[in-house]
Formats: sequence, C-alpha cells, structure tokens
Amino acid sequence: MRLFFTEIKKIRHRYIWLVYGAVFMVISLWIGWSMSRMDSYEITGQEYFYLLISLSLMNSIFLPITLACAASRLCDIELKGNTFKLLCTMQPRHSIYHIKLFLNSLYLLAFSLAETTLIPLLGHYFKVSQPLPTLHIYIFFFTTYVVSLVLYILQQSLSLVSGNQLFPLFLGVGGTFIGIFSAFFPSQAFFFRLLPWDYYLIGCPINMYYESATREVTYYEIPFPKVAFLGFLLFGIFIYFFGKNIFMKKEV
Amino acid sequence: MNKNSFVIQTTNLTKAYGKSGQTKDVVNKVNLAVPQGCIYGFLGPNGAGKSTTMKMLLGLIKPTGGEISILGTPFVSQGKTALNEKSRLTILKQTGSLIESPSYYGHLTGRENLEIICTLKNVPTKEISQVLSIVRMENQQDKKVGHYSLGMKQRLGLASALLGHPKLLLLDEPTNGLDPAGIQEMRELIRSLPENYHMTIMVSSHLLSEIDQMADYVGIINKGQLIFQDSLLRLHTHSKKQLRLRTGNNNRALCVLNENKINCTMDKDFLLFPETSDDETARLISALVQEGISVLRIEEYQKSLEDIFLSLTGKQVSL
Repeated sequence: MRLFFTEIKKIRHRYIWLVYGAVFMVISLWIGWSMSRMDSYEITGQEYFYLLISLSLMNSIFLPITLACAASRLCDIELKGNTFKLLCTMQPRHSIYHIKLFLNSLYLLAFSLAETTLIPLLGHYFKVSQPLPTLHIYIFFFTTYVVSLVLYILQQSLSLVSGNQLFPLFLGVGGTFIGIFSAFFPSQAFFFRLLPWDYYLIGCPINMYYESATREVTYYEIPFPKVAFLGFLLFGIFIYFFGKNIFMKKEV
Repeated sequence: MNKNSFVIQTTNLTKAYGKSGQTKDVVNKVNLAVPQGCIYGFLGPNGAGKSTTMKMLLGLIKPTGGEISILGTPFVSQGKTALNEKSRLTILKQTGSLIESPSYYGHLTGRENLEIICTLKNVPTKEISQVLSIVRMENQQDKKVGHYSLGMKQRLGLASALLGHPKLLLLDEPTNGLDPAGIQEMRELIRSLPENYHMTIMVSSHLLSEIDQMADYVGIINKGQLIFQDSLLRLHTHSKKQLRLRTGNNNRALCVLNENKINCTMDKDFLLFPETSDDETARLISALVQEGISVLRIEEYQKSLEDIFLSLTGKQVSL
C-alpha cells in the first residue's frame, strides 16, 4: 500500500484521470448525439445492439492512443527525472512496473464500468424498446477491460524501456488507425485476429450487415470467439513477462 | 586497519560488457577499501569506471565477478547477489546516493519530492525540514523542481540522499555542472557531513583539485583498474623532491657530472637530480664551476599532485 500511495503522490498534477475522463466524455457525447439523430425505423428493436457495436468501434478508435498517452504520462515522470537509479535503491525493481500497472488497471476498471453503465443509461434516456441484453453487456465490459489492459501492458512496457516516448506514442496512433480501418473489413478476417488493437471489435458480441441496395443495416448476434480470445490472452501474458523482463534487465 | 572498520570493501570487483569472446572489462578486479567515517575520493578520468563501480555498490548493475561488502554485510559474492531483494534494500536503507545527475520529479515541488523519498524510505516527514536546512534550500522548497537551476537540483539530490540519516553516502560527481560558488558550497557541505552526522562518504570526481580539497582517502581508477588507494597524505608523499639545475652548457655539464659519477638526467632545459643532500649539492656545483661551466639557476622541484596523477594514469589532469 505504501508503494501505491507513493505512486498516487507522484502522479499529482499529471491529470491521468483527465485523459480517460475526456475520452469518456467524447465517446458519450458522440454516441448520445448519434442516437438522437438516428431515424427510429433504422434501429428499432436493435438499439442496444447498435450501442454495443458503436461503443466497441469507438473504443477501437480512441483507446489505443489513450492508453499510449496514459502509459507515457505515467512512465515519463521517471524517465525525465532519471529516477530509476534512485527508486531501485529504495524499492524492488519489479514493484515499479507492477504499481504503475496496478494503478492504471484501476483507471481502466473505472473507465470500463462507466462505459458499460452508459449503455443502460442511454437506453433509459432514449426509451428504447429492445430488452436489455445483459449477457452481451457483460461481454462488452469484459472485452473492453481485458483488451485495454493487454494493450496498456504493451504500451507501459514500451514506455518504460524506451528513452524517447515518441515510439510508444506512434504505436498508439498506429493502433488507432488499425482500429479505424479494421471496421471496414469482416471481423472474422484472419489477418485482423493477429492485431491486438482489433480485439475490441473481435470481442464484440454484435456484428452488422449493411445491405447497399436497400441501404439498411441489420445487427445480429455472434458467438464470443473463445479460441481467438484465448490466443489474445496468451499474447497478453507473453507481453507482460517479456516487457517486465526487459525492464528488470535494463541498466539504470 | 581492522577489516570490519571498512564500510565498503570489494574484492576483485569486475564488470565486463559484450558477448563472450569479445568482452571488455569496464571495471577490472577492483579492491576498494573505504574506511569508516572518512571522505573517500574516487578519482579517475571520464570513462574510467567510477560510475559503474558505484552503481555496482548500490546494486543497480550486476557485477560480472568479485565480491562486495557494504557496512560489514556481504552484498555480492562470486559476482552474484548474496542477499535477497528485501535484505538488499535493508542495507541500502542505511545508504544515501546521488549518482550522476540528480533524480527528481520536475512537476512536483522540492518538498513533495522529499515526501516521496520519505514514504519510500519509511522516514518521518519531519526530517524534511532538517535536510532542507542542511542543504540551505528552505526558501525554495515550494517551487516546482522543473524550475530549479542545476545547482538547486544537485542540492535537492543531496537532501534526498541525506533523508533517514544514512551511515554511508555515495556521491557520483556531485559538483558536475555547478558554478564555482556552487562547487565551493557543495564541497563545504560534503566536508561537514562526516563530522556533524557521523557519515562515511564516497565521492567520485574527475577533478584532482576537488578531491584534494575534500577527501581523506583516495582511490584512483583508470581504465577500470584501481591504480592507487591510500590516504591523501600518502599520495602527497609520492611527490619526491628533486633538484633542477640550469647551466650555460647543459650537454657539457652532463658529461662532467657523469665523469664525477653524479647521477643526473636531462629534462628539456634542465638537469634533474634525485633528492640530494647539501654536501652532494655543494660537490656538484663545485665540479661544474671548476670546469668553467656557468650555473644559471638551481631550484628545488617537487612533483605536484597533478604530476603524480599524470604519471599514474598517463592522462592530463583536465580530464
């Protein structure tokens, strides 16, 4: 706990909560605005499916760069001030990595919970007719939290071992572009299963079909891709051990 | 000296970089012995291995071989950490360090920085005012460290190192980047610590004059090897006196003196004699005068510390 409170003290004035808060506000306003402009016949009876897929899409666009920013802001304070050589004489080196990861996992938990809560709230506000798909909402929460955590581990590992924060930030921007472009391809495409940033959409329990002739969109449920997600989790575990190991070996 | 009275002791401490077969020893079999309560000056040119050695002492770098004992506790044995992480940190809790540049959080104030160190070291925050007063930074404590000058950052680094009243202080080039007034202030501050707070200080520098004015004991490292280690007084005794003589015809004088079996060497415009007694001096002057060689100048010459350093390391003092 002592180390955790120290980390809280360290990030004073860094406003990391604001990074997540701002992104949450943008997503909320955007989705609220798009719901309000949607013609009722387009999504009647499918409003929650529309919300789930839209939020997953926005997560895949916004969260990669958000996570890169959060990791960079958390790690940059150590790199800028050359603090590793001091910290390593006062606390176990692995704890530097773990405390930052733990702290950010709390931010992600709060963000994922807030976003998940947004779904029934918007449903209530717009008086949607579709019954609340509870299981799908749980899956959405799980996907948002786990994918963000894995991507954060990747970003933190890079931010801690890179002397310059540009590379991790570029990777985050790249992730955002992948998020945008992947939406134009079928989520079952094998190539996209190799890209971790695409898992917000792969883990979404809803898919959509656009009929260009009638210009109609149909939302439909898809089974959760357990095998692909298991592979993704294994990737996350690998990145965690690999990133931590490189950080532990890094000379300060 | 009793073995236990050494606060730091290393045996064949080695650090090599590179792949097997092409390794380069940055620190090569260094045997440090830092006596208790002294200021130990660790002197060497840039790239000699000072920082690497100090980082190994703090456990920041793993040695390739050798042993380290800190405050009487084996720290590293056979190149491997002899302690678990918890014990290592317990030992290091009794040490303070300022390695290379100061460590700080630029977005926080000086006091907030010290509060973080207090929490990590488990030291009461009331010590903050005390260390700020030691480094004379009470008036700047509420300013963001990012706005500090380098000298202020160095002093804050020293204040961080002093938190918890460590028995041992490791300072790596603490006067780097300071202006002359700052250097003098830092030097005085360091000099006062062993007496006032019963600390042992190991301070590294590439400036001989700095170590000369601060240290009681000196270790000189060059190309990773410890080439001298003893008291500063002992280092000064290396500077043997010599007699320097300039004549109207040095070449002829050299021949005459050699014929009279007087040992001397030629050095530029001077003839150099090893330390000679008054009788011997009178005899050689007489020999030269009898041969009609005019004696222009005679002086006693003593090697400066710089000359000794140069002869030990083969490098200029302005390292």
